[in-house]
Amino acid sequence: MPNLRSALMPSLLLTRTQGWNRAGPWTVYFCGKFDSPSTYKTFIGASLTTDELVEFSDEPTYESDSARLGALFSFNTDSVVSRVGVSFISTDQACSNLDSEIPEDMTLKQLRRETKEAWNSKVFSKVTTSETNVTKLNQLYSALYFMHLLPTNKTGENPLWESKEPYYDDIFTFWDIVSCATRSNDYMG
Amino acid sequence: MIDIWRHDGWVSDARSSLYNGAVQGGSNGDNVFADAYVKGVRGNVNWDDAYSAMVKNAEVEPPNNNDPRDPTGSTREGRSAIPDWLEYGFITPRFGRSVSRAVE
Repeated sequence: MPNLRSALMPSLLLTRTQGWNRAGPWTVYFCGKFDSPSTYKTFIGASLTTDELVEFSDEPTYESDSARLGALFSFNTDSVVSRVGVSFISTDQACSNLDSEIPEDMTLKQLRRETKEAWNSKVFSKVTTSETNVTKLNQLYSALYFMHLLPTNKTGENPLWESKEPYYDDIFTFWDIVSCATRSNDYMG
Repeated sequence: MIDIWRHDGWVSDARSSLYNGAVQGGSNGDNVFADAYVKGVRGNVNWDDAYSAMVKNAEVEPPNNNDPRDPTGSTREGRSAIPDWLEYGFITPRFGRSVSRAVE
């Protein structure tokens, strides 16, 4: 399995700006597993956005903060299950996040069901209503959904410091929660 | 948020991708603390530390991060127009966004 590390650097993606809030570079690590054997080739581009490749080979590892890179996997089967985990700390942690949250024998159907159950039990069933108007119900539950979407609970996933306290962070801010108060016509139909 | 003050030195205002800013005009973390306190949030929250974070926002000028969008002061955290506020009780135009920030 090739080892791909791509550093997401808002400071370099746009040479004109470091991203809206001028944050420094931050990295997402990932760990992917397939349920079928594969062969691979890897590539690295001439820049972040070009189609032009500098290398396309059997190289097992690439690391870059200035060029697009990736891997091409080939399989002998028609249907492949792919599981991917992420982490802000390391690839090892991405792998352990993956194994603990989406174990090898889990199906997509089961994952969807468990996610739905988690949202229902931890968020949507916390309020009750006698409202029957579908538009208003859509607004209520959509607002609850967006309120709980961010900031992300990154406890244990903070690369900046260790602490016994929880850590929450996201690419959007507290301020952006205003978006959970959306217009009713967004939910028609 | 309190832990962010402990480790980054300042409570966040519009924290995004592991970085405290960009500030939204006022030090709005203070509003969040006040609201939570008044509504009875207690538990493991260290309110002495939260208060220290608020006092720092009210009294200390944050270091300038030289953001080209507003080079007059920090856009990362805190209230960069504090020097005017402490001296005059209002913000002069030598600081960017002087009116909206005074209001916030």
